[in-house]
Amino acid sequence: MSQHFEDAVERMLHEVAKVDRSLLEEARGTIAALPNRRRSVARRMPRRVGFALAGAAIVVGVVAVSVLGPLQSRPIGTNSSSPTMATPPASPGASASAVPLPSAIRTGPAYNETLPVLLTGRYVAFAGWSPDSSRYAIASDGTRSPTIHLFDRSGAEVGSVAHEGLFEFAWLDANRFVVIASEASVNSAGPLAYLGRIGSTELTSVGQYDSLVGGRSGSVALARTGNGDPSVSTKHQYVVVAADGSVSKPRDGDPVAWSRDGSMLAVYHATALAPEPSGVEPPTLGSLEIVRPTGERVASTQKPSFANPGALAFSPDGARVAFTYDTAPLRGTPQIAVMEIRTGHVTMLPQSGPLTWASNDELLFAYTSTDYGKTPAGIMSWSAVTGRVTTYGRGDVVAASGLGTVVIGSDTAHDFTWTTTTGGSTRTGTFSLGYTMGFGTWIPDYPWSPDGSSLIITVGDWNNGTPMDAVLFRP
Amino acid sequence: MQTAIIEAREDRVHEEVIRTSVGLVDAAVRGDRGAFERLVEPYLSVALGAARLITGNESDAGDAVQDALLASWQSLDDLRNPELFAAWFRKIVIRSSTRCVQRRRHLVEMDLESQDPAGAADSVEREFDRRQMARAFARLDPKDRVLLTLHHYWQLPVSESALLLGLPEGTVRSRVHHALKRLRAGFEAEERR
Repeated sequence: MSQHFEDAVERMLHEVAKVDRSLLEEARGTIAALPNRRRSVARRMPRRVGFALAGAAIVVGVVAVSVLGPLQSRPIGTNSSSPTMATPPASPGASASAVPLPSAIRTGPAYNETLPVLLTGRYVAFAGWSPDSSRYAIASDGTRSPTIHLFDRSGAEVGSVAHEGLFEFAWLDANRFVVIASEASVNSAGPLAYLGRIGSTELTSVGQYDSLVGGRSGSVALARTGNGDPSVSTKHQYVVVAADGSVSKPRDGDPVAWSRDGSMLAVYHATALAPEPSGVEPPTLGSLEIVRPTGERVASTQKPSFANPGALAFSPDGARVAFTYDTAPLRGTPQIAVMEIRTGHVTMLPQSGPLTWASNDELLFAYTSTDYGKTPAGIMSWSAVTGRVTTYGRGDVVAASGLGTVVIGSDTAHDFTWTTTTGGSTRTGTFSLGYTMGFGTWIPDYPWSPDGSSLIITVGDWNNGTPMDAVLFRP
Repeated sequence: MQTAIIEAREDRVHEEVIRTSVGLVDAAVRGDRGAFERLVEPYLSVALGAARLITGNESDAGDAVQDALLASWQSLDDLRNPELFAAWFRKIVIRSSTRCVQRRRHLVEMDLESQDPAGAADSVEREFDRRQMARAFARLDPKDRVLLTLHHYWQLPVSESALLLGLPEGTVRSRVHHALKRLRAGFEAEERR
């Protein structure tokens, strides 16, 4: 990108960013009218030892945990022109620096349990559970390049992959995976997808793709926009990489999510309302199609009627699919739709929010009103049996395993509540993330393992530039 | 020698700003609205500018910044490093603006009529017409608008953008690059109209 163009961009932004003086006065008036301060309930806690490691530009600080045992970390990231996979050190602990978590943080009398910390780093993000739940992957930012760390259930790091611009990962099975890496050079053709295997240093390119959708069955959908350059076309295509590594022919559409058993893939088909010769995406309305991995259509919405599709989740039995969407491409109101896959019937809910299936018939979602937070957020429940929406609990984070356990909480609150229902009996409890939550903290990922036995929660904290954690919950 | 004196003076000013910020945060935590106003005043204008770029209009920008002011006032207890108030407040502004866009979830239609076309005479303006570029910017994905706002309006270093967005630095560089490519493609499409 030429410096000339970037200079012009800066001039344009400063021009557009000019606001009327009255707006500035309004903002000042807001300060004068602020309510009395309420004291935060969050306790001030000492920074974790791991955070100091992160601040010292080490790849990741790794925290010893009693449940999982000490994790191992090693310097990774060759920053070579082609991605390579790193294998674990021959002798455990050869290059590790396990750091014990201060006991004052690990236990708290007010909580049933404080979660063990899997990984602490300047940037940590969940990257995926393997289909058999035996392994998981967590991304972190290395000193020179992003790194995906691969762990088994004992907490041992079994491998890692590092490359400039690495930003997508999905498992094919417990040993093989797909990654997408984007070259940061100016003249790069675009992101490339690679197949990799634990224990091998080779990564095999499978072509130019800019996103992927991993599923619990092991199949991975790789998507690209047009000819692979997202800046020149609005047409989406995708291929399906099967668990055996074979790649299907390209099909039209934008893959969104797999069903739990991997037998169905939800695909969004966008219709441009104002086609353009090239450039940024025009406003679109779209339809949702449910297909088999082979491409055979199972169901679809009747006509293009959804804009900006967001979160999408199949019910555990695959009978329904719920997704968020806008009622119109311009100034639309976000809502939730639930489609019965057998009949194609769509039920509209007037609310919207991150959603998860607690059971085959109960959809939970974190509802935030559209009045800029003036109405408290809450967890809502929609019943497919009665069709009614009721309040489920307080918070803005809800994660259901689909196999009996529901965890709810908030990205600014300290404790979480879990409920497990099995065989007609219900157990409940609370746990702490082992970290002081408050404004500036957030929970970007909270995925259950496919077998419903474990939940990984990643935590970000923007106060003080502190890093993110990944913590593990086992009901 | 002159340069050294100036640098030393700038260092002292910077330290004074930090000391003042820490004192103001402490006072604001105790409920002093005046201290809070002095604390945020230096950042209000650019906060509104960033919010306008991300939300696409003045009305939403005003709401987003008011939201950010309320949120930061109520959560000052959570600011564990008062000297990092500016970065902390920037994060809240970006978060409020992004939430505003997510709630409205519409493609941004910027009011370009209010923009001053006076600069159209210079050579750069002829080559890259500002209004066409603004239209292309308005049609970018909100994530791209956030990235370009951080880098080319606030001109934050990649390391701070990475912290703010919770992304690796390499990913931020890559995404800024692609956001610029998309902006350029959109701009060229506008030019062909």
